[in-house]
Amino acid sequence: MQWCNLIDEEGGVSLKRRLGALTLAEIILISTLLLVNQGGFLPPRVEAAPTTIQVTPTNSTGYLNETLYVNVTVTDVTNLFGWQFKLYFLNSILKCTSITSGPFLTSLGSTFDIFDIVNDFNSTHGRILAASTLMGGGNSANGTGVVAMLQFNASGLGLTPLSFESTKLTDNQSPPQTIPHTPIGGNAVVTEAPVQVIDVYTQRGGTGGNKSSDAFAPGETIFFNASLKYQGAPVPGIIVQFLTYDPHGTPTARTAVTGADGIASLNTTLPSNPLFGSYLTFASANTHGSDYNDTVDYKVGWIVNIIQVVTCNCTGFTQTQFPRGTLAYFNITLENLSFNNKQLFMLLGANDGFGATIAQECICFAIPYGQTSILFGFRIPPWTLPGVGQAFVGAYNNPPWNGGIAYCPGHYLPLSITGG
Amino acid sequence: MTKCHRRTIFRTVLLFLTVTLAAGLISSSNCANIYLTLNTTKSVYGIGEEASIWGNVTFSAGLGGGLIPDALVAIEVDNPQGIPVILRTKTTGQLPAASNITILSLTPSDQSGNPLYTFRRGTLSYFKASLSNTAASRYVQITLNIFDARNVAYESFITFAGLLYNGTTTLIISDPVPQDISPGNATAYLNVFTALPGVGGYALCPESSAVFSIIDGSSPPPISEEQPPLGFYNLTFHIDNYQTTRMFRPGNYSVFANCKYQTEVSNATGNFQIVLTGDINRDGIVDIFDAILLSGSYNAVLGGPRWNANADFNFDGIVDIYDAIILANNFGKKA
Repeated sequence: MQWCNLIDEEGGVSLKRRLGALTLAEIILISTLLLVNQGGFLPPRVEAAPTTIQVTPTNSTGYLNETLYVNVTVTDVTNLFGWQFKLYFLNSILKCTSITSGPFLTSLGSTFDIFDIVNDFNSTHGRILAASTLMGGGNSANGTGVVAMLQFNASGLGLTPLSFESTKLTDNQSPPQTIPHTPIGGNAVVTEAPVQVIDVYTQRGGTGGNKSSDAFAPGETIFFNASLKYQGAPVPGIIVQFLTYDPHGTPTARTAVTGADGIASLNTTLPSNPLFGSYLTFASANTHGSDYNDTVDYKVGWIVNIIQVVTCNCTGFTQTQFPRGTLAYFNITLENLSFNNKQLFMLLGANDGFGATIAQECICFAIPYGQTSILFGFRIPPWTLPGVGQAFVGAYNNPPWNGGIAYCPGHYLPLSITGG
Repeated sequence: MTKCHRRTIFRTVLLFLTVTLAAGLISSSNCANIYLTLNTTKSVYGIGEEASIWGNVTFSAGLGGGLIPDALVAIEVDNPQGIPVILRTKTTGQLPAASNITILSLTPSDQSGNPLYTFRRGTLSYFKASLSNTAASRYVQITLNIFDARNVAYESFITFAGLLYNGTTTLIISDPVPQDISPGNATAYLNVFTALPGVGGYALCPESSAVFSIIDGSSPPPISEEQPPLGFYNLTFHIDNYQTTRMFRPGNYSVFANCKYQTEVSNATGNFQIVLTGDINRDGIVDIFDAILLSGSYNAVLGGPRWNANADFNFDGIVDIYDAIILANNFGKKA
């Protein structure tokens, strides 16, 4: 069998050979021990779930010439400190383009990684060799988590097994001990991409079937385009219906007619106080006797928003009163709606009850998509007059004294200062 | 390395050990492959004294036991209230290989980040720091530790805790300049830790420093710190309990030192005591009760029947007129 041969090429020993190496006496002894155990002579044990290293999802699908994502997950593990695997695939179906460490170990600290992608390992198979270990003597991982994220280009039609070999899981003992586990491979199927007759998108993306566009802020104008092509040729003069659902599910319908290029366009300017959240625009048209449709979704909100500001101590516990001369901290949660990093200049200022500045701090960095929490601290001057002051947190694209523009409304909150 | 060099280093190390003979090895707890030591020059310091924390980092005996000349040692000193008063990163002589995280600059500034090197006591000072992370984002704690012209720490805190994203991050930090600290050249140190050393954190890069001037009053002479031999680290600071900051109150202090060298981590902990000089009965005031105790031990020698170690202020093994003078000079002082 082709797969057995592959394993042997790698210097492994097949199961067949291993079984063949057992003598009759050994087989009888093992069988006897198994029977004795089933008979209840050994104390009953509560079996922990077996540790596995597996391809997730087990069966993945992708379209030809598109990217296919597969994770490698370790399940029900205790004290995982390092891992290794080889993964084989048919190189006529997939080409591996990247491998990155998953969060299971990287969330615990720095890792040392070895990644080797060989798409033409032999005439039929590609091979990924991946290994990673935490550095230092710190925490190890427990439970279930993704250890590696693989990215393939779907280069051919068909099914390929994703088969493990030489998997190793180790703990952080000195010397490291092997963690027993079961490798579970998977399959990937590559099919032809469905023909996209209509494709709706905005000026910030969303091309392709049912894809997402980047976000929009209040007051911005969204330009929608719906491209209508039949067998690759633009279809002019067709009415396209655009149906936009706001975050409450309320629809708004509009229409536009495709031009000579087969594109129907319209735009809408968001009010200064739009409903924040996820929007979905549905475009549909009838051509050559059939209905076709596509969607694009996008978020509307402050592109960078201050979600929450809480006064606290240095460990993040909420604190509402601060004796003068002590440290005050702000736990600030921010969100970037954009798919792209945004340059953020965050300003934190504080005044005492008489308006005198008692702190002004700034941080400037490229905030990635999603939520970010930071703890920012300052010392309240010992000469501050007790009373209720005010703190301000603002998010800008540049320093405001250099013409920076606010991403969102600032947050004001009381700052209670006591005598110290 | 030549024999002559080795001899010189050996002599230097010997001298270093000799001058710190009074010190106690605090404690060390180490992993298998590297070994970090932590010592103080004394186990009890009086207010107004100079304190030194020092040690070395070596490979384990199995790896040859040699000194490591390019390790980073993260140091935290906590006062009796558990508040960090010292947060520093010292090298064992040479800078380590470049790390993913670096402090590009630390500059005293105005509130907009423009360089400004002079601040008055009783006003806000500002520091602009730029940091670079060439790897994936990771959680860091950035600390600021400021020492006045007499090398007394007057500020020490975590200014930022969160993910340091790939790319450059710039901070502007404000900090009040206490009214009663020494004017002259002060030094601010910015450190980047995985967490505070007291909870097992280690330094992610060498610290960065910036000198600035505090005006309003006369300045003491500048302080210079002795450079220890390669493989050793040394941190010296002056102890004074300013009324506004009250960072160095008498009591028991905890010291934490952590070192991560390549993939190996080692840590050491210990403590020392700060006392109000002359306060023999440790009640926080130098008064007649202390004078009575001193007279009761007068002329007592180390190990003798009337010996009271708390009365031997100059640590010369005898309670004599020199100790009486020290008590007299501190009479009436409160912690």
